[in-house]
Amino acid sequence: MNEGIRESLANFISPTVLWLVYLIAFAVFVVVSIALMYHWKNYNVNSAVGKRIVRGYFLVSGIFLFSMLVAAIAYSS
Amino acid sequence: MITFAEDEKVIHEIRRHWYVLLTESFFVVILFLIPWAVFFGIDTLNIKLSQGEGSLFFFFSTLWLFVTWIIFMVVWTNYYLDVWLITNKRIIDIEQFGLFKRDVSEFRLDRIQDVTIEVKGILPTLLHFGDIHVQTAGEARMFIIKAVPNPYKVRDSLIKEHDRAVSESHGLTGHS
Repeated sequence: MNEGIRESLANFISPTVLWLVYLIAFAVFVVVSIALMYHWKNYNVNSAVGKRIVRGYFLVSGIFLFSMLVAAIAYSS
Repeated sequence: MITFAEDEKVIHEIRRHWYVLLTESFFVVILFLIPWAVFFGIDTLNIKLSQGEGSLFFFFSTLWLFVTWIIFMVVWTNYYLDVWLITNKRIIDIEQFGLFKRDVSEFRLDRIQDVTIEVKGILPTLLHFGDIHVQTAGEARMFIIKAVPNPYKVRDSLIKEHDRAVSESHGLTGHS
């Protein structure tokens, strides 16, 4: 039964679905980033902290997005 | 956006205690741990994954962590932008409610009439944080900043700045 579930999961999630999920995640990331950047830029009093936060946020997000990209490519191939 | 006068300097930025951030982001931490728990579960049960299954697991785990990271950043931004700014002229109280609602109120330092501290409970006592209530002249409203770290120090600083502002407004600076 366990094998059956695993097999049907692999059949259900085609590479196209994975790429679609990736694109949705990326779109959500862009929207949230715009909102966060707007707040950090306009409402932050300490600009040095703001710059560090922006760098940290995009660095970590970039690592996650890159890892997902690698996984999606590996799954597609 | 807050604009400052040319001769205005920010003396203190007061945010809530880190304990508040910890409690607000507690559920995010739990969410963050879930993929790791699943991974250790798979490892402990010795379940063999094919390359496709491994990639799929890695993709969705990373997606999960990515979403929790974004939620954490939103929580942190709410925490970070909720601040009291004490300048040499006034106090600005910025209250952030989510990403799209914020209240900004301010009052002059020389209008402070009464500063009260409230430290209630075991954790606030042990971790040194509490609420500061500031009553201003001619205002029915009480300004409250919650869960301030080292509230006694902040109160002393507020009173010091208030005295200086009162002296300046009465033209007594340098004559005392």
